[in-house]
Amino acid sequence: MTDRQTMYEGLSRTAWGYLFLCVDFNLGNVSILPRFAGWLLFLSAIEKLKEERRDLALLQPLGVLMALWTGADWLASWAGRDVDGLFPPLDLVIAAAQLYFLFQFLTDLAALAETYHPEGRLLSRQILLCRTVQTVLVTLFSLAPYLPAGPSNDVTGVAVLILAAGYCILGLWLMISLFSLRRAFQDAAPPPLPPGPGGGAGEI
Amino acid sequence: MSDIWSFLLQTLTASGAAAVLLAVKAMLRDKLSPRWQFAAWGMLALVLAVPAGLGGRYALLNWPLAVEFLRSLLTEEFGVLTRVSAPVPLPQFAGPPRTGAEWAYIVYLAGTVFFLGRYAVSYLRLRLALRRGTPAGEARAALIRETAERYGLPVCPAVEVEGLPSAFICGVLRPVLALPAGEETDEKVLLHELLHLRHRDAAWGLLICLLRCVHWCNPLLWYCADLAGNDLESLCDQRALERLEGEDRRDYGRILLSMANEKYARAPGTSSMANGGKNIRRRIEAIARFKRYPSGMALASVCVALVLAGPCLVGTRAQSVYTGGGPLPQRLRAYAAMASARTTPCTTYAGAFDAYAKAVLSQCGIFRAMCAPLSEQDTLAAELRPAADGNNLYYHFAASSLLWSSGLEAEADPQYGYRIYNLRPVENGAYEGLLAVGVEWSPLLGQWDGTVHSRYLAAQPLRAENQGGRWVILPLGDFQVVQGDERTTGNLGLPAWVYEAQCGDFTLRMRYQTVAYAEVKSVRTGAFPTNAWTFDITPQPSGQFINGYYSTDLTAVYKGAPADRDSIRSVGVSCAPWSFGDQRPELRSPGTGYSTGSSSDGGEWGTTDTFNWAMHGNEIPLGGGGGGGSGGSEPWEYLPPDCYAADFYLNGEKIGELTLLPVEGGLQ
Repeated sequence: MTDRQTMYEGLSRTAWGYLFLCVDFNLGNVSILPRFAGWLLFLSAIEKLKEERRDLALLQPLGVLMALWTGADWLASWAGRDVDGLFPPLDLVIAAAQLYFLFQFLTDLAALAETYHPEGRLLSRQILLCRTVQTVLVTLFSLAPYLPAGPSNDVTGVAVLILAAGYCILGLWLMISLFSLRRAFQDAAPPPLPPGPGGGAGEI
Repeated sequence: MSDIWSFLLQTLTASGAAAVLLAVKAMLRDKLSPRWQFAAWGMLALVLAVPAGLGGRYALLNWPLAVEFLRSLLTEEFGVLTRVSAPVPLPQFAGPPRTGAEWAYIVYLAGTVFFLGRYAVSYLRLRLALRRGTPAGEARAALIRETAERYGLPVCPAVEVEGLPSAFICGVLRPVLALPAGEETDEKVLLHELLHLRHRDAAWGLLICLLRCVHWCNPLLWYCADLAGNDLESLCDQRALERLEGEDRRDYGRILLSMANEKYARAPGTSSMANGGKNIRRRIEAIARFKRYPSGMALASVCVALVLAGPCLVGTRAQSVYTGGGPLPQRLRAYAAMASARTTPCTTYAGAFDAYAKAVLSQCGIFRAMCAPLSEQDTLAAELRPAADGNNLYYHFAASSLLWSSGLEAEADPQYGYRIYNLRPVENGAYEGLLAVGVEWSPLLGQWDGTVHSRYLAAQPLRAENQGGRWVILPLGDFQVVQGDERTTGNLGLPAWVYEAQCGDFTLRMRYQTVAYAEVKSVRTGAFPTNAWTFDITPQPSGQFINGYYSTDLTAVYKGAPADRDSIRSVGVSCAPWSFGDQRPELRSPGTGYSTGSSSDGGEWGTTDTFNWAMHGNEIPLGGGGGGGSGGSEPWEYLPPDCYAADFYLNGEKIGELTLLPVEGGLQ
């Protein structure tokens, strides 16, 4: 059984990791909130939480793959390059890995919310709803280039715009939910420990 | 598949999809259930069932380019395009094989026939063996019925056969449950086989065997067939375990373990619980994971499958063409570039006009090959010459190291881009129009006349045709270098549709011209802050004409005696487009003094009381108009009207209600 402090740390890393995934600021071509940092935080969170949710351990290989891929993309961006599209079959494998990872990861977080927090049921439902909508939206975006052309470019453009806006709102909502989950565990947790060599709550 | 190249294209396309599926399945082996693992093979089955390259698309990697490159390299053929008409071999021979490719196809066909025969023989032998068997005894038959009733499964005739290693279902249409004679068969084995029967899994086995035959020389697809067969058994294990509980589940695993050393007969149309030691080990691993698959993954399973389905099943079209640069050895560049051009077909007529115009502007033979008929590709390939041969008099903006001469004896100005004048649909779904490119210098040009609207142009009439799904351009004449007179009311130096009517000493004349611009893309050539932009010379093979305009120019030509000119104080015309059969449109007054105007419905009016006979001769300009715009409109929506209704005014008085009819002979 994981203590609440460890779970709090895991959830903190998850929330911050999601921030790195959703928010992007660039200096020239280079992101100052690189996505690979988000994946590394997820991996670190899994390490903290896998005792509670056995399924989370299954995600570690996918997390490593995603961290390597996004890390390579970030390094390539320094040279003004982009690894996306270099080898389409690999893009496809990465897309499948990311879709699965986020779905199961959020499913497990929702289960943690429901199991360990007295008021977590609502939060759990919220996370599950975000997870489902996010998965559907990502799938639609993936399929969009292969769907028959819309009635006109304008209609297609508006549809894409609506989907993109929905995706941004969803990302924001999910981030709020994850930080709420973290706060819920913080409120119930003993005072945070001072930061140790491996990093702790104080660091985050 | 009617030749070795189409087989190669089909099998390579399937191999690419298979490789991605294998990677994703391996990645999700412990995360998604055997149901998903087997269903994923359905995607490969669909890839194999759909002719590769359908609609000019390819799955994941540009296999058509690879096949065309190889074909051109080995056969020196450029005028053929590999097409897969059906996903199965279709023998088509005009005579005995002559080339290596034809011999290779014979060998491939022979292999297919051999494997089909081998499987057919093994199936027939199995059926004969079953026929020699004896119907299951009463006790066994009762156990089968009892098992079927308990789990709600169908039953089929059961026979006992000597020497069978294990039970199996044989046949798709008239299935038979084969049981080893003289041995007890566990109820759980029967459950497994009856589940195969219920889900008609023998049909999958048959399909897998057929795919093995068609792709007999592709080891990757054979490996996938092995895995698919095993996944089918794992799925059946899952179904059986979903129906068993407690000790029965453990017994099921023990039975499976006991079969690990048994031999099994692979025959089409059969499904057996025992499928070889190596496979059974994999299934036991799957069973061990059975309770560990994360729950609630149904949506993720479907979405992952959909994400894979788009690129694997629908595929993409090549949007850019290789023009002969890069690391390839010089000797191979022309082969690769011509293959790339053939496999990047123009899918719209606008795309074909665009590719041709950019071929002219950049002298790029590869762009021309994109929109040239297949019958001209061999000649074109022979005409391509390297840029370094020093014979590129008009070389200015070459986009390729493989140059081509369009016959334009002038240096084109790429910054001007191009325009297509008078674009119109003609018979057989084709389109015709006049290509105009700006030119900077030509030995054919005379002195620049220096007028404000003057612009030297080279114009060539073109026709776009759809030939087997590829839009191609057929030049209808040579380039003419002309001095264009570009005004807001059209280019007076280029042809237009002309309408005329007579009224007294006057001929009223309306010129109607359309112009289409492609989607103009510019590329930045300078760094910030000194941005410099240039016309993007890259063809858009699926492009559209997004800008379409029409322009009109109205004149009255005086044909009377010069001496009578002095009696003319004012001339005015008001006119509007008129379709045959419709009511004559209401026309407004042209006004007084000097005024011209036009309305959004195509109406035009103009009047003048000032005449410059010295400058204009007998022509009295009465203004013009036009309209159109960008986005969504096809340029030929601005086709000229049937005729114009016109009121003619002389010295302020309306002296005629006229109909301006098209001048015979088309564009003037």
